[in-house]
Amino acid sequence: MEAVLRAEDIHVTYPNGVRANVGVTLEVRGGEVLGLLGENGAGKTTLVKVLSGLLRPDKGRIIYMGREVVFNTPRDALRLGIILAPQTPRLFPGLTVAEDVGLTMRLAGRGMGLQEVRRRLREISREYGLGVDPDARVWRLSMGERQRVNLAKIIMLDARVALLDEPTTHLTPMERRSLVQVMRRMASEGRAVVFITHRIGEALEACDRIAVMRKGRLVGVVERGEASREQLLRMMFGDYTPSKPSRRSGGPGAGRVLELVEVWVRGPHGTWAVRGASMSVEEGCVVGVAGVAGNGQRELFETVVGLRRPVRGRVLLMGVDVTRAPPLARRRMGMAVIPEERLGWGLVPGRSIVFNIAFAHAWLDGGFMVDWQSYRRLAEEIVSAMKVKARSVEDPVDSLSGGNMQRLLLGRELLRGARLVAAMNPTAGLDARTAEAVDSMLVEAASRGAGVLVFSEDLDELMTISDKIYVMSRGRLHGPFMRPFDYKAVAAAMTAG
Amino acid sequence: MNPAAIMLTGLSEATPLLLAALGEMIVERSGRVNLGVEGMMAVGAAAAAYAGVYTGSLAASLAFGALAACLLALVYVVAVVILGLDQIVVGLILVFMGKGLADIIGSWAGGAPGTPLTPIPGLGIDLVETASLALPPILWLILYHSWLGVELRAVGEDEEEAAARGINVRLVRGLAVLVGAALAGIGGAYVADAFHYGRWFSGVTEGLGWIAIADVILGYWHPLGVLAACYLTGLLFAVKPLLPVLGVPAELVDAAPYLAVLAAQVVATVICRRLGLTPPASVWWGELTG
Repeated sequence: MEAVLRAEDIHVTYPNGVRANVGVTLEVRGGEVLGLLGENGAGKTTLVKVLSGLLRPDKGRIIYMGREVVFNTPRDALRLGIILAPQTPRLFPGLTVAEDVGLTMRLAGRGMGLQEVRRRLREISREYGLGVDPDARVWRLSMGERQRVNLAKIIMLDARVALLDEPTTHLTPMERRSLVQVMRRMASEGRAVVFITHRIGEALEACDRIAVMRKGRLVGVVERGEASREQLLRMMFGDYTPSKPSRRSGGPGAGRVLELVEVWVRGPHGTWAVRGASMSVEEGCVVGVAGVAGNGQRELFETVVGLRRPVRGRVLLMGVDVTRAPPLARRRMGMAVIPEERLGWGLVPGRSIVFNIAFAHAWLDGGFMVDWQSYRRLAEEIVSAMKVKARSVEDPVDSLSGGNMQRLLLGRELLRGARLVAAMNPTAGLDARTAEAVDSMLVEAASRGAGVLVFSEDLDELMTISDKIYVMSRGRLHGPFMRPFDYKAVAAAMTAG
Repeated sequence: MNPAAIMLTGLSEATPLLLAALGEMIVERSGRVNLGVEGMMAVGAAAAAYAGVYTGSLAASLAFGALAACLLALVYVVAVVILGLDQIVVGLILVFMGKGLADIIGSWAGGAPGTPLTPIPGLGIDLVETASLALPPILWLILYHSWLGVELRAVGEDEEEAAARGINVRLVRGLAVLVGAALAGIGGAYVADAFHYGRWFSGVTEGLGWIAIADVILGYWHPLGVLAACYLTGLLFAVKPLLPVLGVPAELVDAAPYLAVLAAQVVATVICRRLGLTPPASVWWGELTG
């Protein structure tokens, strides 16, 4: 197979001194799925940003079809058919899917009428099984759905090189499997697909060749047939080997921390998002809510937290009816919240670590004056206890990596001694080591007696840490499924009506 | 007065608001708020009167109104769109600059009658009113059914992403501000030409610019919504003098239009959210998280 795109001796150093790419040379061939495997911070995203024109390397060359090219803007790469689907898809919230896709088509020099865009999107969606509705407004789509929009966009643009940055982040096991099929199919059409992932299993399943990166360097490239799990692990982590957090045995306690009784909730559009959901979370117990994104999990989570009021049904916290109680009252009762958006909901962007600790605590602590001294000490305690990598607690939270943000957030929420922990996709986008740490912290909170409610799109993760699992599908809760879990039964419930 | 006459008066009162509000809607769809509508309307009215007095041509009067407002809006384009200064401060500067400039230009016209705008015989409404009624559907087509409109809205949704995809954000936004200014200028010109025989006096457009901004919000940043909002406001203006006759206490008469607008705002918000319509994200992003 011929090399379509070749990165030669790419060097990138960020202004903060991080050497993200150190002499990376990599070849992408037409008709293959090339895995780019590595931990968070290994330099995978930096490399594809360089290849897609989003970032100019300090040194190095990009060769496209045997010719050296220089990308000044992403549009230059787009015109050659090199397209990047970022890990967190960024679409225009107020536009429809067709408008968003059509806009990119136009800017890529392949403009067509809106009707034509809608027709072709529908075709592609059906053909590849993407479930994309061209007339849906972007702001109502889940991250998983937005990811599928980006895939449809890549197919529509007839990309020669598709760079997929952690496309499985927001997908469920079934969706992941169908994504693998989509990638294989794109490769069989002669396209080059670069598949970034930190999951070895995925890489082995989907890729023809696997390139492993560690700390900004390319460690090596292995062919599909020659790659073994152990070898890839060694290449990714060096001497370190991650392990799954183990769930201690022992049944759930008697006390119900959270109980939902026949809860009906409307979504932002006024339609029913949650249809008569009943569930309970016992103390000392991890309860998982699985399901494909966009089946009402978000609305249910917001109902538990107190941001959305159910139209019918009751929410009980520690046996007390809190259906009409605001989030602050629930937090005072011992509720901790780990939202999906670490920055923006969990943490205030642009503000310091101290501010973010104080901000969450001051409302609970009451009083008129803010005791910055004590919050500074608290922030330092949290940072050291949670091993947050930060130069100073006065640094803005934005300067932290995703994993460190999540550590900080967990520290703030859990170290108070929460009785109910509500977490939405707590490990999304984190590397193996951090995800493992986050899961262990949630399990640990449960062993200290808290009831932990985890919404996740990662069924494997839920099966590892949960005592019982509910499955959400089209606004209804199925289950509970108890340990030991029957994978097939749980997965089947995901597609139930 | 019979209902038909009230409707006609309402339509006439609504016309300058509609022009200015549609212009501001275009600006806000591009992701900026130009608070200088009041100033642009004032300058538009003064320039229209001046041009009307000296050329005697209605077309020249309206064109000068638009042109003067555009020139004033260039300040906004340079300061906010190109240099990135604060849009609120610059918008307010436009208000004061516009009123000051209007007093100077208007004094050149000397308070003489210029080019009055009269209803088309047999139709009961004038040319500008007719055109302004055609404008909302046209803008709706452009905003929601042309790529130009999609680009404009994309810039207003997320300018970083728009720039990353290769849209020239400053160009789109700069043009939006100028088109918005031209419409506000014609709105001001209409006030002088249709309500005062092309005559100008200080404060002739007083307050209309602010109401236009409110009508953009009331109309939920949608051309047809803005049309409804402006017509409602215009009708309230037309009905207001009749209220004391109907026995409504004087204190309530002054408050009535605003109370009605408040009620309309609630209804409009509920309806628009059910329809899935959203304000431009970068201007009123708070709406989306509620």
